[in-house]
Amino acid sequence: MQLIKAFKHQFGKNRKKADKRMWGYVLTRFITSLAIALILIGLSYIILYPLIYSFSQAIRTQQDMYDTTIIYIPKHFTLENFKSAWQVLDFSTSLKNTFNVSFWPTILQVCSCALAGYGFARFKFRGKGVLFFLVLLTIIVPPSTIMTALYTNFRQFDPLYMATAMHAVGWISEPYFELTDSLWCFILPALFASGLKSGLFIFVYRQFFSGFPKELEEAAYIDGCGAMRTFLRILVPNAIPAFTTVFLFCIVWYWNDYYTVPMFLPNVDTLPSVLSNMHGIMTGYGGAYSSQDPISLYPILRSGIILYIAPLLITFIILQKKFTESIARSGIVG
Amino acid sequence: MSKKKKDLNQEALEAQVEVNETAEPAEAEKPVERSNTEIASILSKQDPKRAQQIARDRLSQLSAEQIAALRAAKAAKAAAEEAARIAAEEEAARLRQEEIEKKQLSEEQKARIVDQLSHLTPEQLEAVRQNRAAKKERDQRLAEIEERKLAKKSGQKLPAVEKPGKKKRAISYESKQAFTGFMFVLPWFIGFLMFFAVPCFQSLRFSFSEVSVFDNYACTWVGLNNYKELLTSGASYAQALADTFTDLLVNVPVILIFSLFVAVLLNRKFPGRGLVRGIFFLPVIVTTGVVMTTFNSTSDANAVLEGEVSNGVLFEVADATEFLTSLGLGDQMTEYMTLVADRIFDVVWDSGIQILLFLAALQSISPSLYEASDVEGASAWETFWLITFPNVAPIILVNIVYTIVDTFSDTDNAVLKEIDKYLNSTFDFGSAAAASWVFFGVILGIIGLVFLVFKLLEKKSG
Repeated sequence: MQLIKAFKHQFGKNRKKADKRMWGYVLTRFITSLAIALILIGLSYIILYPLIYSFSQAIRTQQDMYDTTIIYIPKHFTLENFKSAWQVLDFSTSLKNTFNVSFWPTILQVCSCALAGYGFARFKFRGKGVLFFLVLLTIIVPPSTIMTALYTNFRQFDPLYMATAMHAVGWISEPYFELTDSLWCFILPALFASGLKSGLFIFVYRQFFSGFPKELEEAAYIDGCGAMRTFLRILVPNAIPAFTTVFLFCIVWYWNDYYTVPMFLPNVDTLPSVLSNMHGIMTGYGGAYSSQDPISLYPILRSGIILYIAPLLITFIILQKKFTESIARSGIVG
Repeated sequence: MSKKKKDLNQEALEAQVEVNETAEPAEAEKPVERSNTEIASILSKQDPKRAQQIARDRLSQLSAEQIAALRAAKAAKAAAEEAARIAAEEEAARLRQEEIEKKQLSEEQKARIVDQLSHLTPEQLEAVRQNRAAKKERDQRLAEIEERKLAKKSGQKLPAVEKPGKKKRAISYESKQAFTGFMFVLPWFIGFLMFFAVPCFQSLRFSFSEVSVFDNYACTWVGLNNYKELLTSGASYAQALADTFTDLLVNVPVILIFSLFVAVLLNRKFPGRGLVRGIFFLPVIVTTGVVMTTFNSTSDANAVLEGEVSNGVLFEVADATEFLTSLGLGDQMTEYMTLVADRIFDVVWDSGIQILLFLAALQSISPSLYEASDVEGASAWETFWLITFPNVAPIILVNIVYTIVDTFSDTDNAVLKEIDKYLNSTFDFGSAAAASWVFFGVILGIIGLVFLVFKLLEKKSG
């Protein structure tokens, strides 16, 4: 299309001057576009390859697996694999669990990080630099460094000796709250903007809010809005792209997390933990597929992956427009 | 001054208009007032219609000359009022002017006073200050008393409204803003203390002690033993660190160059751009250890089964090596290139966020810069190095740091696996903590180095 436009532009105006130089121009443009298109298509293929391949395997029957003439398009379509994968993964339960573990903390974290980011972006107070350095530090420290300590901390959670005090009064039987194996060990950090990768989100929000024109807020202040109301009425409606970005990243990271979730919630089967054990579940002792040829299990494994990715993919497609908009408004770079 | 005068003029004009407005509608009523004001007022209260009728009757009885005379008299009255008002305003303006002049004078005197003050000793200065503060306080109190009196006179609603206002005035705007700002940050700070600082401290304590998992995590202090053991006995940890470090050395430049390249491509206008962008961000959404391991673990078998080269290796590595050596590249370079080619799949899948960051930076570059360079006849190459690159440069640092952190906190990397081994097989929390702190030290060192290099580069370039 562009090429034709360029062509028309060149020749429609002054046809007589259509000399060699223009042909050269058109040719170089054509070659560049072609090269770029080829590169982009190739890279897109690399990215999509596992997905396409998984999908193609997921919808083929057992007998197609052994047919070497089939690469992408199977001869016999079937949805049986999805059914089996659904059963093996116990999909409805694990989906619900994963949703609980990822959605609620995400919502809380999106809000709490926004507050902190706004505080860092707009207000001047003593020690702000130090505090922001601490935010950056939380990004750098690898999660494994504090994970064990956090685990023991959650096992006997006693914030500000509140539990000890309550124990002394006699409200609870132990001088601590046991938070492991409950959703609280995700909700509490998210509530206090200290959940998964929240440092990064605070950073993103800070960048976004400091790029926001100050005049609107000042007008709101002059009209008698408090800081909180200004934030809710003026900034939040204008920061929808930033919120979308953070929401998307946050829910994706919680969804894909198979490091902290099995640690804090060992008895809850979430999708990542089940999926990583899927092969074991199927072939393990007493598994329904233990006697089958391993190759025949691939379609079911691939269906499991597709099932796992599907909710994220749908979310991404829904939010994609807002997401790219936020990039256009440079919500991340500021 | 001229502004003041203008204002005055305007006020006068407005006053005139007001006078005119009040004069005209009163026309019908006036004769009634003159003839018998009391009756008219009573009538107009009881029966306005009748009063108007009476007025009209009276008017109709009057002759044309009489009406004219009445009108003239009214106009004269209005003119007199206006003149009086203008005079009063002029007087006020003069007074104001005098005041301003006084102030100016005092400003001139200020310099002298400052001069005098500079001769005073610190003690004297302090005394003067105290005096002034006392005076201010007295004035304030007087003002307060005045206000209270006024409030009492005007009714008892005022003091209730006034009080919170006074409280607000007592705190300065800055300190109030600082307080609000801190309130915004406070939830994070509490979270930071509870879920980061305390565990960090505890983890440090673990690393210096023997932790007995089955005895409620009781710690016995063993000093640097854990660290010593970690770095001397057995090479697995050191090996894992080295592996991760090599990984990083390959990953960072490749991912950076690749993501910048892709970002520049994606920033161009072409049909289907939204779709392609979506595809390139897809790894950010889907990428996860679970899916990746499942892909990898099953793809080898498939490759054997179907005679297909999978896992994104685009060409046979052996051929590539031969080809590159035939080009005359050094052995190390060849090795690096094949390593990169081997990783192309990983690189593409790992650079989603970096592409995103670069794209955001590219889009914040004003298009007028490109237009200007186009007009000046710059080539695409020059445009890239002179416009795109300098504008994207700040993001390069962010991207490097992000890539480092991402590589290091990827749960599949060798060091974290090593740490997991301590945790899950031997329950040696002390060693695990020590391992992770050494790891953190290495990360911090590398990031510090990167920052240092960037600072030096910045200095060099001016």
